[in-house]
Amino acid sequence: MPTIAELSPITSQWQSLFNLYLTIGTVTGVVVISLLVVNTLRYRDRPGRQNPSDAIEEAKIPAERGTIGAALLLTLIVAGILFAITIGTMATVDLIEKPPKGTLHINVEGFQWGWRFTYPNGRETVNEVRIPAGEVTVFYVTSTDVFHKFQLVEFKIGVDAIPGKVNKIWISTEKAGEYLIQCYELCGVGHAVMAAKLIVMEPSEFKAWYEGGGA
Amino acid sequence: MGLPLPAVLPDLEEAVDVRVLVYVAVWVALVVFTVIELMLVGMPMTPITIALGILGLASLKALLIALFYQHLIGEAAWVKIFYAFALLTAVGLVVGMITGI
Amino acid sequence: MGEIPRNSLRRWLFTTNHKDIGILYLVTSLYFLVAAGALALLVRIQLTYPNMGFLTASAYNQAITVHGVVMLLWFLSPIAFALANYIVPLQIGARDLAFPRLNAMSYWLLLFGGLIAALGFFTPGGAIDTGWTVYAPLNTAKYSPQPGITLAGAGLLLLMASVTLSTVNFLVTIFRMRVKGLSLLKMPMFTWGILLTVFLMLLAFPPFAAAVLMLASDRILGTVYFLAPEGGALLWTHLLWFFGHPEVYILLFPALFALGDVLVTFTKRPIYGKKIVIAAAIAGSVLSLMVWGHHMFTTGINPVWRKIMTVLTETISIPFGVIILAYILTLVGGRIRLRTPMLFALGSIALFIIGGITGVFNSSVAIDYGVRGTYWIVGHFHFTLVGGATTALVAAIYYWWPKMSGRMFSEKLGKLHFTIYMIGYLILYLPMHALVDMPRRVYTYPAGYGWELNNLLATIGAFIFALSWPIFFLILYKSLRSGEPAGNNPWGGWSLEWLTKSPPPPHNYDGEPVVDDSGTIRITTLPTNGGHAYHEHYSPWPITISLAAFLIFLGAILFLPVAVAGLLLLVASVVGLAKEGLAEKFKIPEAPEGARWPFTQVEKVKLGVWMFLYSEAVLFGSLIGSYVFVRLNSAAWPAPGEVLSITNGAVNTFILLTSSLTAVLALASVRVGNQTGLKAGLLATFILGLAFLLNKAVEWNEIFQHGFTFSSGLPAAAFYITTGAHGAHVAAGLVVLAYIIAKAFKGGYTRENHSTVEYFGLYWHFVDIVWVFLFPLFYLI
Ligand code: HEM
Ligand SMILES: [Cu+2]
Ligand SMILES: [Cu+2]
Repeated sequence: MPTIAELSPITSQWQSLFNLYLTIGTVTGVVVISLLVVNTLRYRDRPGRQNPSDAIEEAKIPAERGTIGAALLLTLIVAGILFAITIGTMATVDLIEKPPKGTLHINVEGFQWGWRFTYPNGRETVNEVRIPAGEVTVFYVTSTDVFHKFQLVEFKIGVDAIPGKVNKIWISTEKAGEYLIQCYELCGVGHAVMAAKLIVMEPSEFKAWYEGGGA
Repeated sequence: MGLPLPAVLPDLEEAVDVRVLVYVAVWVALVVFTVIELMLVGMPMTPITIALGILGLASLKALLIALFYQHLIGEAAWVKIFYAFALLTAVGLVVGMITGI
Repeated sequence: MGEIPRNSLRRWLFTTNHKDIGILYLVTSLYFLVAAGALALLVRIQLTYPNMGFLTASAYNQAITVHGVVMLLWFLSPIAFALANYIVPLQIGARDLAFPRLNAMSYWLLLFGGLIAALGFFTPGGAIDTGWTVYAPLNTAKYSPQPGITLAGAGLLLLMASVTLSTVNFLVTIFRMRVKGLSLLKMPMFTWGILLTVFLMLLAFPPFAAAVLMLASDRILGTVYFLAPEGGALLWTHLLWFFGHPEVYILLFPALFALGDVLVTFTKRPIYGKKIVIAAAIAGSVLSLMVWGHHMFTTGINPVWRKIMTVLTETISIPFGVIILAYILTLVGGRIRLRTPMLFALGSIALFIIGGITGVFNSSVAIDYGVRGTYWIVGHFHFTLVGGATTALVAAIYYWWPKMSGRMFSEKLGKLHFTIYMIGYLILYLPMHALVDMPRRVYTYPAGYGWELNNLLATIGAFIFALSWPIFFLILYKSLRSGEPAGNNPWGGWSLEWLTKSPPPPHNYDGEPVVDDSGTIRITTLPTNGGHAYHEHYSPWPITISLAAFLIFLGAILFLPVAVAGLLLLVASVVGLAKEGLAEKFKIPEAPEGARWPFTQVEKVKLGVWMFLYSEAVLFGSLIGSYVFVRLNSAAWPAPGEVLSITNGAVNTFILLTSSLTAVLALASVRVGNQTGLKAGLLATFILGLAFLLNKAVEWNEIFQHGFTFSSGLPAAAFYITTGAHGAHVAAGLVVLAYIIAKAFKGGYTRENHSTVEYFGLYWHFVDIVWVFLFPLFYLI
């Protein structure tokens, strides 16, 4: 199994974006939950602890507490964290959405329950698609019946297959091998088994297969 | 009477005729705008212009009904603000759907 | 009705008291929790190992779908409204909700809605199995012919009727029925949460209602809205998620704000920055109406739009971050008592933090390409909905339980409950975050992708988590049987509900609560017949009307004669209701004074009518928007005059405009005491309305003859559904008008007392306004 980084440029960029979110998210989560726990323990009621000066009383509207300045500060902290990660997103999304000059364009039709692939030369396959390693393949995904999602499982990328609409997704990988394509949007009783094989071949082998018309 | 009456309409019982006049005048305007809408249909303009013209007139009619028949004109401010917010929500949905195509 | 013994069945069927109804909601929602929880356990058993054969694919799909729908709409919202029903009137010092009978109807519609949806299990093909999102076109009869889905649609429509009534009811109650001196900002947090919740409900449910109406029409009448390749599938996602995103805040707010009250009581300090928390929640609510596209990142919608949605979604986490930090700051300097409600409250905050953070991942369109449709998403929303919202509501139930039952529960068992709950929870849902690439909603999965361990853990966790619930019920049961008496204020809270007995008497307060200028709440003792005396009341019509609606839907879907029975029951109930109205049994005068800003001048029924019309505006906006959307997506559309006769439409326009004039003239007449003018105006309005409907019937008949039938394409679908919904509104208006005319002929309206005539006008003119747009959109353009 190739590592994520070796698999394909969009997958590795996706993974590093995810890791960025994971790092910032984990740090934020740990800090905030620690604040919760520490303050709870610190101000726990123990023998000898006095009521706060603005303690609430029965039948008395509580006093006001907190300042606008503090609110702004809180807002800025949260916004700052979000700003950092948004930048990462914008760079990655451009890579995912704007394929480099593709060399191979394949039409994909989802149906209940399987995937049909049509190559530029008219060649059709079902539940199995072969692509050459090292080149950019663009899939044009649609559906002939209901809503599906065309997911390249190991590549962590996918796009919806919607009747009446064509959506694009691209990959390129150096690593020949067999990968999984799976439907990721519930589409009826066959949904779980709506899978296809993605076979990445050495370019020369692919060429032979593609032009040979054999199996 | 305890009912909030339109501010522009004198809140006097003797003034009821004025009020009735306003109601009738609004109705005349509604009818006239409808007739203009009908006349616009066959005009030698682009379909978009016609559509916008007709919908503009329709909005005007809706506004008249809301202001004078629903007496929105003299209603508490927040009744209007919430109304506007609800309409904005609906418009936001439509615009979002259309531009998202 | 006379007095009914408080322990009889009749009391529970006919009650209109908010506390009784709160208890009905509580029991019902817990029942749905157990049912949907059992389904979840079936699902987890099936997923324990790869390639299990415990459930078939079809059974599995039914289980996850019903689980999701019931948990969201029949458990989480209703349990929040159980508390809202019980607590909100107490917190604002009201005797009841503004419209007690409508409140009872909300409950019964919810119950019958749930029942009709559940009936699906007993029909061929089983219950709804499309996932709770019910995506199109899988939801159409072509791909899912089984009645189970139609039944679920009917259930949803009943639920939405229930929700609409509740929203109007709570908005009016909170705006108009606060005791003197209790300004909006002084209200306890929970009441604030409900106020924001119902406001969002008012605006977010109508698009979903429109979508379900269209779906029902597609399935029953054969229209083709969602089947059409010209945008049908996307149309559904737009409408569903326009509702779906605000819905998550609708589910969250009652819980999040209940936490506010719990925190204040158990830290003994005021909320840190209450105004800031409220402002943030309002900002979040407004934003929540603008971010639905983040559920559609992978549908291929406009790329610019995707980026805007990413940024807006990340913006929406700011207010929620602020609220959480404010809650944590609330602890600082307090005197924290770690009693059971507080433990659950703190647990809820911690879990919600994690769910909020994973939400930020999803808001990135780039990450979403990978995680949409995976167990990562399942982990995310269970942290927010179960970890955040449900845990907080458990805290809230513990917190208000002594008030509702009059008894304490065992602290020791409460802590045991908390421990098992948290352990089970974490073992159940944490592993899902490690399944970033596993598809959700699959009944089986292959081995060898590294998914085995985490699925096994989740199943083990599920059983531990499930075990915590019987403990909860046992604690409550034991408390009821043998708990210590609670007294008025067992936790030392400040707000109004703690100032009355536990449980409170039917009239809530023995006296009139007021908040004085120094912020002290006092209960002034008034002679019981002065002020606004309270009579406990009952009405049989809420349950019979809801039952009738249930029967009508059931009949329309399964067996027509049942619908006839339903229709008869409906007519009888409406007549009964009208008689109750004529006898003014439920006419409760508003208290002479109270805190009513910003609607000081707007009488409560009128405010209710306006609130209802706001939701109607969004409903018709959604229907019109759907039409515009599919029309812009379609290559061809009939030209004006081609199918529909412009003359016909124009005649109907003049009829309806004129009926608005006659309606307003009727009002002008009664205002000066002119009874003849009133009667003439009302009659003319009725006749014009009837003429409008007759003309429509003739028109429909004609175009039907010419082949423009329900199923003849998108133009027909849009036309029949949109103008049909409008026609139904005209017809409903005529029913009310008939009642008003009957009352007018009995001399029921006078110069001083004619508000019904005015409020009917608001509705009638609104219906007119809708037509003002429908006419050009369907006939002229
Ligand atoms: C308030 C508490 C929240 C609740 C109750 C909640 C609930 C949900 C639910 C139920 C879903 C799944 C819908 C489905 O079935 O597909 C979901 C998905 C999502 N949530 Fe949340 N969420 C919350 C907070 C957040 C926050 C704070 C964010 C972002 C900052 C967020 C962003 C998202 C996104 C982008 C998705 C779509 C992911 C996808 O389907 O690919 N959520 N949420
Ligand atoms: Cu599928
Ligand atoms: Cu959302």
